[in-house]
Amino acid sequence: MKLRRPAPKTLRRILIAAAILLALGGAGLIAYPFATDLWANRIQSSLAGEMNPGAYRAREVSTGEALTRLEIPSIDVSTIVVEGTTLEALRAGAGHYPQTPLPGERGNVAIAGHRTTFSKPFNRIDELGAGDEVILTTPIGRHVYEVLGAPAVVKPNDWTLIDEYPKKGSFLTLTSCHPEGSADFRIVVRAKLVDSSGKIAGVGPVGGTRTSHLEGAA
Amino acid sequence: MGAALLMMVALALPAAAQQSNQQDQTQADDGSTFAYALQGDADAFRLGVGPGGLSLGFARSNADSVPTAQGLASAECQFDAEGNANCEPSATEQSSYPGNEGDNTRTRAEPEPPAPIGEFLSLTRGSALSMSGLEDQLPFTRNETTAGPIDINLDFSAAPGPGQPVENAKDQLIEEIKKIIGQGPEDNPLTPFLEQILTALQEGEAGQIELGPSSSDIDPDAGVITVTSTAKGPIIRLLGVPAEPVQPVSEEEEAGEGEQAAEPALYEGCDITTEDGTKTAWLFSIEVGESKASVLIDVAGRTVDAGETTAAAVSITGLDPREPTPQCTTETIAEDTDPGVIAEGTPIQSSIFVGGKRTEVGDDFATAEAAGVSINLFEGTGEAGEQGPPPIVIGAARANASVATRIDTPDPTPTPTPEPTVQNNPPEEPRVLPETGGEDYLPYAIVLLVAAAAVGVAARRLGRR
Repeated sequence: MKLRRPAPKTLRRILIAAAILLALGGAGLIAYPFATDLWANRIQSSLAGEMNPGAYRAREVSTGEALTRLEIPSIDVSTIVVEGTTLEALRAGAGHYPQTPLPGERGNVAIAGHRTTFSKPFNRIDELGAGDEVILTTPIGRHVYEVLGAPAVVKPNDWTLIDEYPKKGSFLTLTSCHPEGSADFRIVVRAKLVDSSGKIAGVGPVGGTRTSHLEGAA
Repeated sequence: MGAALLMMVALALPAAAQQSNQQDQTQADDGSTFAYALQGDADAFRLGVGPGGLSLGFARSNADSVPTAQGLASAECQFDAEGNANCEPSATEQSSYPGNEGDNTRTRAEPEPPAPIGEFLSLTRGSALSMSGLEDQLPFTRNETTAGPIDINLDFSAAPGPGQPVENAKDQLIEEIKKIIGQGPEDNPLTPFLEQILTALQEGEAGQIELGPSSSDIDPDAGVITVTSTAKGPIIRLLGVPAEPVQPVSEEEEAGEGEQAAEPALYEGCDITTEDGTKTAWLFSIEVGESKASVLIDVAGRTVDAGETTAAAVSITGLDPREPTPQCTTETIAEDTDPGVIAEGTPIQSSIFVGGKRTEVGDDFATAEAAGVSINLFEGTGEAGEQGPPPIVIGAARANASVATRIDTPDPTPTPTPEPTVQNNPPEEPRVLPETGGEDYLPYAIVLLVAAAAVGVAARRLGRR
């Protein structure tokens, strides 16, 4: 009868350690989106009530600071949009393209938002259609946009829908990654300003003086 | 004033031309640069007591070829002795471009005229609207303001400066009216009427001004930019008395019995207003129409011209003392006529000037003015009854518009061909829309968990051996 030799303890310990690490890795990957949601929610809480009318009027909102609240009633979205689209800024969930106009202004306001992480405000952006309202509430005004049509899917380097827009009117463009969980493409929604109340930024001084007097030309 | 306006515009041109850059749409193929500056302003109503003045309803627009645009609309602006405008912020909207496009809402406020004007004027409300920006790469600005109505308090005793002489003149008028009432027959139909005028003067609440809107716009359309300034003048009402209804018809008249001569209606032809069911007949009413001044510039063709320009018509409605019952007659004063003088030779002598319109067009400029109306009140309040500078001056429905241009031709001296240079700039990185999707980690997580399970099973089997 042959006796079985026992397995080396070291090998078994290595395998147990590897199993634990693999399990932790898997659990971590599953938990990552939830962790980013918590992170974004914490940022949103800190941004609430921090919109600065004076900085907004002077167009001096810094990257990462609260710019406007964005609401899309048809897909239950209500989030604070920060200024900027850097990786750090977008941890708040949605960010304003700094090279585009501010809400309510002429031209094309553009906002990028996360699709699957960081509270995923644009998760259901693909459900938007013509007539859906998008509301931007700034520290000094409220602007309602109406979606013009179904979303478009474009390549990541396609800036056409950001750079090109009709000459007359005010527009809003929302962007996110597509499909969900992938950065292979971008999904883009275009909306047009239909109602505006309050003010928009940067009322500047009217310079110059004039000489005048009451006239009585006989 | 036209020369001063052109000088101001010409001074602005060098700055505008120097700021010209890639955005300037007016550079021709020969390299010449076409710079232009546009300006307009309009007053609905201006009141001056002593030096300076108060404008109620003022709109101003500016634009140039950079392009920039600026607009201002205010229900209340004060002008100092030098003519500089300081506008009440709560009744003012301003807008400018680039970078600061104006809003498209209207502000409402209740401006308070400054002392001493505030002592005898009560302004009810004012509103203003201002928008500036670009259309088809050309500047636009639209500005509109309204103000009024204004109640006039004829108690000038509290107003400093010229207030006391005016109050003295009013006292003299009251004494004259008392004499007329005392000396006239008891059944003089004018007596109760004069007594009403007397009461209005003594109580000091006997005037009303209804203001019209003013606007100044710069509008591009198919490459032609038009500056249009308009100002609707006021309706100035003085000495209001209760307007009694027309004499009631007697029972005989209703039954068709007997013939009664038709009685003329009281206050026929007078300006009558109704407030809270109470009718008031104004014994003296001046209505100023709308002035309009416009100029235009064809940017592509590099030409300028004057546009539609019209002067406000003025009509005066006043009590006709020749009629047996209180009635009014209306006289229209045409533009560019001799000034109308009222109560000449008395302390309350007042003059009305109807300014008319003027346009002038040159190769590189165009101006349009609709001077509106100017009224000088109580000219006879100088010492010993001598004529002096009128203590109170009213201006209405004044509109201006102007454009100045300049063409800068590049130096024809040939420049040496520059040495070819080697550019070592690294290629631009392609722009990528912000990444907001993230990886789908679930498959990887599943793989890791499965692997963990497999390794765990293997480790357990090793332990059993």
